[in-house]
Amino acid sequence: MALPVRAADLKLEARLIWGANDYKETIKYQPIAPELADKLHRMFKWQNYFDITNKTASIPINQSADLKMSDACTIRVKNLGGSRVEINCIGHGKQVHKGTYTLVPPQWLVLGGNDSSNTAWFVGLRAIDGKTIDPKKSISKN
Amino acid sequence: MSMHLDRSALTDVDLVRAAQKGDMVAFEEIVARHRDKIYARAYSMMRNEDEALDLSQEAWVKGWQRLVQFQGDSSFVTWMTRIVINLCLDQLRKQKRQRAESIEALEEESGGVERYMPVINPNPTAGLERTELRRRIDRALAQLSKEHRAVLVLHEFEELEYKEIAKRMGCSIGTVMSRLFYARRRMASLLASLKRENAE
Amino acid sequence: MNQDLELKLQAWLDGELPAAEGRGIGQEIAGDAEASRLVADLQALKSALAGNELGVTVPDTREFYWSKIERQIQRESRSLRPVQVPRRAVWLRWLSPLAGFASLACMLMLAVKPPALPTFDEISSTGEGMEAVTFNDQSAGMTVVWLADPEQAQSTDTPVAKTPDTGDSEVEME
Repeated sequence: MALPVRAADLKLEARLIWGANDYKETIKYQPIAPELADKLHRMFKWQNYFDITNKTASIPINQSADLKMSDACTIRVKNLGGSRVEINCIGHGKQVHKGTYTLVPPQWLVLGGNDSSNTAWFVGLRAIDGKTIDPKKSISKN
Repeated sequence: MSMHLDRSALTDVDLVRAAQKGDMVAFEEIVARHRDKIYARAYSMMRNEDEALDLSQEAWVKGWQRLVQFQGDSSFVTWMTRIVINLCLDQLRKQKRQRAESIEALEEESGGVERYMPVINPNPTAGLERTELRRRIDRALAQLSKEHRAVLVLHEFEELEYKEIAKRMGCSIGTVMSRLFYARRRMASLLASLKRENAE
Repeated sequence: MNQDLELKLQAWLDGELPAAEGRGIGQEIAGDAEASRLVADLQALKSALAGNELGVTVPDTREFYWSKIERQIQRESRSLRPVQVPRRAVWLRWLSPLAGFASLACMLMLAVKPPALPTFDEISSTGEGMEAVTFNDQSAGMTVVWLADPEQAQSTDTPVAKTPDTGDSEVEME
């Protein structure tokens, strides 16, 4: 039975994306959806953007959720209420970045940085309009 | 922060190739795979955990810097082992210069009392279970001087020839031979003592 | 037994004796009880040591052990890395390494309409040695926070899709 989302719950989508040009590792991964790829192309120099991890979460107000995007990268999201979130980006167990943001769907917040071999990592976050959700799907991954 | 891709499935050859192109994550994977071996070699020569850590890490840094020179004539871990051995030998030379000459050191160099011991018949390691044997060998190695331990490690465990050891240690082949002889006699004596200790 | 013979027997056992010298050693050992005992002892020790080195492992975690190596590599590469400076834009040398990002951020921010976008209210902290540059793309509906190592930002290798034409450049060693 699906549970109703409480009004204050924040439903969030998080994607770990890898930006690369020619690199043999890329054949293992699927390209991201064209609309998001377009947005990244407009801003960044990489030719290709790949979906590495995709997660959703429903976070009650004043609570946090840890989204493990990879072995090296965890995003901790705290729902501050009023579409405001605190984002804590943890890389290799160390804090890389912490900030407070307002997430209004359908806009994306993207954290990014250089990766090895002239590639880049991105973590895209956006709030999703929540109606009702199945709790089994409240945290999912590709 | 770098994203973790599954490099654990790649061979050393692939990882080295990637690292030679600047892929530091690939290099980190190689370090993770072989760090124990490189550290163990440094520890066997220095017998000091902190020194072994420092020297093994320094070896990896040098390995990264010299990656372009690695042509694949030997395995990568053999190449790295040579680097850490050279660093250890440099460190030992530095320490020797700082150490005052002592009668004991001179005696060790010339062979001390073990040179004049009658040849010992019973094999002090016969019948030992492997783990216990390794432990005793380790304890005995710890009691050798650094120079004698170095020459024994390089010959017995790294299987280097006399000429190669002489080059690395910056001494003559004759010196290598006499140090090796002394180290072996001392080891046999130490292992015999350990056998007697355990029998009591 | 004299020292020369002892070392000769050892070299023979180790396969280091030149062929000419090695001939006849067998007879020498057979005829000398002390020599044959010495060879037996040396052989026994060789066999005992072979493959019986006690294994030790690095006492640090993978990450901790690597972190020191990585820092040292980066430190040493910084001391060698050339810095490309546009010849025509000599005055840029006076700006911070993030001048490129900052100017882009300014350009983008001028185009921003009042917020329908995720806004950043506050950056609480960024990891040691990192800098965060935030810029909004109204038309893309995206806010980007780019986390950079300031040392990396000195290079011309920027993440942006289009870079200004820097014209001729000269290489300046740090």
